[in-house]
Amino acid sequence: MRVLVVGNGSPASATLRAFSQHPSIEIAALLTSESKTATPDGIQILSEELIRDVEAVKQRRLDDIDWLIVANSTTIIPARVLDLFQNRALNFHPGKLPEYAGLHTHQWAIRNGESSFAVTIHRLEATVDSGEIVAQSHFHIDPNDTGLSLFQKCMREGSKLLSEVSSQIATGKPVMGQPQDRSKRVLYKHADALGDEIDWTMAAESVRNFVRAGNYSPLVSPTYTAAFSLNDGTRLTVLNSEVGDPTDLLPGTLISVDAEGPQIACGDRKALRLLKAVNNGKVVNETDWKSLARFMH
Amino acid sequence: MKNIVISGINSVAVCPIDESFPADRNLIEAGIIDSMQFLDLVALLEERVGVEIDFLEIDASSLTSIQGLASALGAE
Repeated sequence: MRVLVVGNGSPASATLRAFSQHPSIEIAALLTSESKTATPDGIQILSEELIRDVEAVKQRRLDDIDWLIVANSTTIIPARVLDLFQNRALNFHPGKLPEYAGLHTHQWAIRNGESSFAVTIHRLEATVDSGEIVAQSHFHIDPNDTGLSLFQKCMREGSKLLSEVSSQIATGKPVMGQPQDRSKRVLYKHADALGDEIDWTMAAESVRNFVRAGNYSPLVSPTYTAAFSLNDGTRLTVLNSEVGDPTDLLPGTLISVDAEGPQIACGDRKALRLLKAVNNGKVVNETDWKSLARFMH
Repeated sequence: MKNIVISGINSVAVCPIDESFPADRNLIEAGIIDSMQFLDLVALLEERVGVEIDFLEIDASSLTSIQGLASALGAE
């Protein structure tokens, strides 16, 4: 049996490792955008861009395979290429389907206050993340999970799930799928996730979720990091916060500053305490907050 | 453990490093690895050492150096 793997990072590595343990499987190639990938020896590594070129795929006999596995790739495969792999292509989506299709869905799950999430392997169709669900792994979102920590969980769970499905394919077990409930489908687009401005009229818990979903520290968030501006134009980035005291003050009003950080009124008569904020790469401390307070509403 | 970390870095990074690379230097700021490679590196080291690093239990910013990674892997 011949398989073609397209993807990056630990999900792609896990898929290749699972297949390479079965002598009956020939791995036609790994198509990846990474310059270096931890792969078993002897696997042909080609550019991920090839999967967008129907002639290149045919010329290299990459369509002469039993299964195409897309493991952690954001490349949109054109319908002309997909037609070559009908009913024998699977995609790993690092999110819960059908509720979280598209991009950056783990950050949206935190923003939406979800307490659980999932990663999904589904049949690849021309419409993004819409094919039959072949396997899904559900897990808990911790109340303190950040965008980065939940992404790490998705990659870890996804790698396990890809390993399982790859072994299933390699041992000749049938791949069964369940159609998605289209009425529950929500498609998240990249542009929708970019706004970084904190909206103080939201409930304090919602602002807290917005802040932690954008926190990719020490890495750079693929979308946004929560921020707000002071009256003098200073832009503060917020990485960590907690729901604070009850308040009657207007949303956005600075209530108090102490050693733990300032409290700012939100839209549900509760305050948000900013536990970690950054100004020009430097963490804002209590003294800084006291001098900045005059520039806050 | 430090050698395991260096060997892991060399598995994911384009330019290899050796033991002379400062153990406390930020690997991302130094341009040795990027964000995706960082996550791959953590996954690779977890597999090689047989532990899981939980980003919630540890300050992830400490994981961007050889020293930080070695102590996180050793402490689990």
